[in-house]
Amino acid sequence: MKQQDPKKWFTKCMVTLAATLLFTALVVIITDPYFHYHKPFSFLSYRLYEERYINDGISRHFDFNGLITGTSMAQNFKPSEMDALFGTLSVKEVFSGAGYQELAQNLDRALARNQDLKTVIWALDYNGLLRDPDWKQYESYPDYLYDDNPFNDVSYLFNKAILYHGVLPNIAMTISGQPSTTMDEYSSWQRPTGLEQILQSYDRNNVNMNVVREFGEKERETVTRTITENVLAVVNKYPDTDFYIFYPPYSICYWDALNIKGTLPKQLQAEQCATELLLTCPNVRLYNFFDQYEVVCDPGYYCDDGHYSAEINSRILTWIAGGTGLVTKDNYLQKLAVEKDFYSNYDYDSIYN
Amino acid sequence: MLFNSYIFLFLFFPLTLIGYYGLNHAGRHKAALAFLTGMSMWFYGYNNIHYLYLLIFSIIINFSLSYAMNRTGSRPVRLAFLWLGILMDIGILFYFKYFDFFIENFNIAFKTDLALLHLVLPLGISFYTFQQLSYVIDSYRGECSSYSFLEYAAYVSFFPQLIAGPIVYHSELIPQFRDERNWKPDFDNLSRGLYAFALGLAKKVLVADTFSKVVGIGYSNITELNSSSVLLVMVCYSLQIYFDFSGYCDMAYGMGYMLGLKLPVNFNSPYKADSISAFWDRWHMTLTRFFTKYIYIPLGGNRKGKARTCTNVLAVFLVSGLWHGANWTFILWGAMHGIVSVFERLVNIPALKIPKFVKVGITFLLVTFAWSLFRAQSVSDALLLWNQLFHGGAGSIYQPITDSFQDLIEISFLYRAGLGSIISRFPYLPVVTFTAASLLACFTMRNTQEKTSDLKFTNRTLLTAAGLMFWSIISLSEISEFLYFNF
Repeated sequence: MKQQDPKKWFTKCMVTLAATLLFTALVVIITDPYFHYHKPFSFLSYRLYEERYINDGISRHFDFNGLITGTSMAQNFKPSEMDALFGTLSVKEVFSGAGYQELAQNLDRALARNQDLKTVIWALDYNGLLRDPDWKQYESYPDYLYDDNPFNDVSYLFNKAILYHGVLPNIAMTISGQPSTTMDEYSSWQRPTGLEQILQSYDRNNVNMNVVREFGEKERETVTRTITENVLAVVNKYPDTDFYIFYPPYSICYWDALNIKGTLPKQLQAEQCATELLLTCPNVRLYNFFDQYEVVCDPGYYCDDGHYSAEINSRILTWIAGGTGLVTKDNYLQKLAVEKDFYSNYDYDSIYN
Repeated sequence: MLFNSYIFLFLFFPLTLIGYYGLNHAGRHKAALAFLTGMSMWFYGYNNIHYLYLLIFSIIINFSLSYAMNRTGSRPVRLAFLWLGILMDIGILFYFKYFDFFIENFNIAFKTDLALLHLVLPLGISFYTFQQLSYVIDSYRGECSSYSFLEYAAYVSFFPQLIAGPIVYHSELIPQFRDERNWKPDFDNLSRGLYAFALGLAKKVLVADTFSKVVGIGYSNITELNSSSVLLVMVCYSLQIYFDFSGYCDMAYGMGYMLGLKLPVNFNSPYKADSISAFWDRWHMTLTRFFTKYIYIPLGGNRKGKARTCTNVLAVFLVSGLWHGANWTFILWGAMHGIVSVFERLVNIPALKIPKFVKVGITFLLVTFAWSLFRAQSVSDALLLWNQLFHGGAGSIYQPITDSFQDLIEISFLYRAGLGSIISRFPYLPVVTFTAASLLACFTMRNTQEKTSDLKFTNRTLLTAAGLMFWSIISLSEISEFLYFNF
């Protein structure tokens, strides 16, 4: 092969590299699969898929004034149903397996960027009340998407994972004429439900008994910090926004496990502590659906001890809009007493017979 | 700062090249050297500014002692300065690297409960300490020219070699700083340097980091592994550390080239070695050179009989083990290499009529076995791993290992390219093929120094360099550290 002058070789090599990188950056900026730079183009199809990559972009560039957030307990919500019930134009920003801190931080960014955001529905994981305020189970967050530092965008622009998982599917969908994922479809799932399904992941004979059963000062402080640092901090920062917060109605098997472990009283005390804190905020409407027994006690609605089917998400929206399950300063102690009485005395063996 | 980071590739190194050559072009050589030193300091202090204070302190003290030695003719005074320098360098190294290890063992031996310091090990402290030790010792021996403080600081802190070697002698680098021919950019050097850098970056990002996933999973789940999986994990670690260190050395070598400064070769296809002694002539060559010059020869080398030679060899390997880390795993790893080296000397392996490929194979197996101890968190972990190796039973590869390969973007492309059914049917195929291909490369391919010096400036090499750089850059999203940073 013909040899070149080193200067020519070096220059051509650098130009080739720079041109390739520039082209890559342009492709990412134009297709912008995670909406970091602009809202979706009408001539492109988008796959809404990776929550931790896409949600911040939704906050940045979508037009909305209502938002649904939470963990997997909120994934099956349909923003279109929220819009019909609340008269909003809403989006869904859910994070599978998230802790309170991650949800609060995302919400804070969304509210800071969008002055029109006035209605938030927030599924507050009941089993997360006693976790540390900064509890998380993921480590590799794409922080470069969350901040406004243009320099670390290199991680977005020159990233084969973004090219493969973000850009490529969008281009493929566009070429094949496939429409974009709708907000209702985004992150939603459909799994078989019923007792048989629940028992695939829940073994009542093998519940972890190595737990702390007391609700002492340490536990009270944990709940207080978790709620104050994550939920109240955001709620109080945006007093003009209404926050509809609810504890997701886990299945009766969840309560069975609490009973077996002996942590039901502790969990209820944590709930009381959190509830009292949340009720101090005038812009919070708190909902508790643990008395919706026809749902909670019917394994047919659940695919495991906690996750309910999409039908229940729809019902939750209706309940919230209609005021069902609303917790107030006047009724929360009575509701807690009923909850304690019901779940302490329930005949759990009957579930499995 | 990491070589394999966006900030280094897009900002730091281009800026260094432009600034260094620009100032030299303007006739400001001292300013160019000061700029280079300043950039090296930025490089070193980027992640932890406290490390930088220690480096500057160490440079000032070692330079001052050597300066004082060069100024006095009194031998006792020179000797006092020498010992002061040695004690200070070793003292700092001991304090940061070995104090907790010493206390832990003291507590176990004497059933005490002395508190540990839990200090964060400054990056590359073993490298720059040894480099400066050599300078202090050479100053005592009268083997040092008169260097300015700026030249000395530029030499010690020179970023391509600062945190993971090679261990460069002052006499190799400072004269190159002074050589006016190196002050202006030479496109021959720039091109060869870029080529070496591209190969090194690809070795690190595309190969070593891929193996690190397998190794990480394996060592975190030792009890779950069967014999085949342990064997694969051990070979993968052997390849990980090879491509990791080789990649680093190539990048350092390439950057030196681009700056007109030739660094000594540190890595010469070590898995082609046909004995452990030959392995150490090819692996981390500047460390071996350092130990030979400053420990082995002063101890008598091979001049005082066979028994003393063997003792000296063992001593060097024990020190080498300890140099690599404050853990019994490293010391025993060093001892393993030492014992085999002594055995080779006693048996006179080179004289045995064994086919070379057999010797190379045995050497690789021995090195790989020793690496498994080197990688283990503790000796008991290594014992557990070896127990699984011999008693884990044959069977399919541990699924999380095969899964980690299935998750690679490159493998996903193969799926899309129509190989999905084959990969689904033989899930171990990607990891085994990648391992086998990498092994083959270690045993057969020419090393980067050879490729760089013989580089032909063709479109093929141009596209290879640009392609590897591009592929590596878009693979940087998962930042990882070089293994040798911890030494």
